[in-house]
Amino acid sequence: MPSKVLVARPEVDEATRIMSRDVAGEFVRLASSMLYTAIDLRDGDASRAGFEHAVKRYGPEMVALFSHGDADKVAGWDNSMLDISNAYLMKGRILYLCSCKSASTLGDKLIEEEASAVIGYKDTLTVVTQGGEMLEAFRNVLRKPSVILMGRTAGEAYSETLGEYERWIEYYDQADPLIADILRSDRDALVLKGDEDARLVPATYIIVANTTAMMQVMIAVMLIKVLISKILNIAEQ
Amino acid sequence: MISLEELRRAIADHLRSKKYSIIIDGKMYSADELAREVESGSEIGMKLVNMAIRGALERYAKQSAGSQARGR
Repeated sequence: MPSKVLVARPEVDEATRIMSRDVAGEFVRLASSMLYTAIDLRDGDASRAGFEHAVKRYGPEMVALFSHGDADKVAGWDNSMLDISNAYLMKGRILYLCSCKSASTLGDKLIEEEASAVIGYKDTLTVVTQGGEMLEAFRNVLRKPSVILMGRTAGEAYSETLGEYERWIEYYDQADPLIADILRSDRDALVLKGDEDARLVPATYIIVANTTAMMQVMIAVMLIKVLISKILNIAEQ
Repeated sequence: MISLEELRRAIADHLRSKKYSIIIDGKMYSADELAREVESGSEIGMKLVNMAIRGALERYAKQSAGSQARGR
């Protein structure tokens, strides 16, 4: 069975609409293209009830939330979607919390409740837009943890995201130091908690593995057929 | 040496000239709104000023480490 990825992106205001379009949407597209079962909760479906229902029904191996947050919660369409009281639902899952502060108190609670790993921000997440679109630097760093969908471990995803921050900071130190300073603040807020070796098994790997197994069975069947025909030939002689 | 007042004015002017809108602490501010927050020294405005100060220090440390390495 392919791994399942749940993405929740309640679009409650301009900030969450931009986050949904420029980051979360790409996460969903990548998950689908990598043949994961992508469960995309938007607007009313990204409520607390909708989120809990989807987690229980589909049992996703990875959960990525794109919303407003605080130290102890991630906001949903109506109230908090994930907080201390339903953190136990995340047991065994890899989480990406793309929201302010939620990887601090909530992040600790999630690990206490045996979530595999949490990547997120322990402090304010600041994002710069221009002309209604997120600057490419912010789009790229916020999307970067999606490398988990390609089979990277949580630790590798965290390091690659920090690397992406460093590349853009170096660029903006020359081009626009204020943007570099905001990126530095976000970089310093990014944390990984839990098992850095946690990873998903990409659906494409499973298909390749199954294909190899099927080919082995087909070759075995052909060999048996050849063997039987030879035995029959010998018997006829 | 630049004063805090001058730094705040420089950041506010920069925000207005670039027309950046910034999502900070869960709220989206237009360039002009955020520039006013910076000028008035509000909590949000000072958050941005602190980012600029910390960033400048890191940039300076990086440059000085680079020039020391070149000097060797």
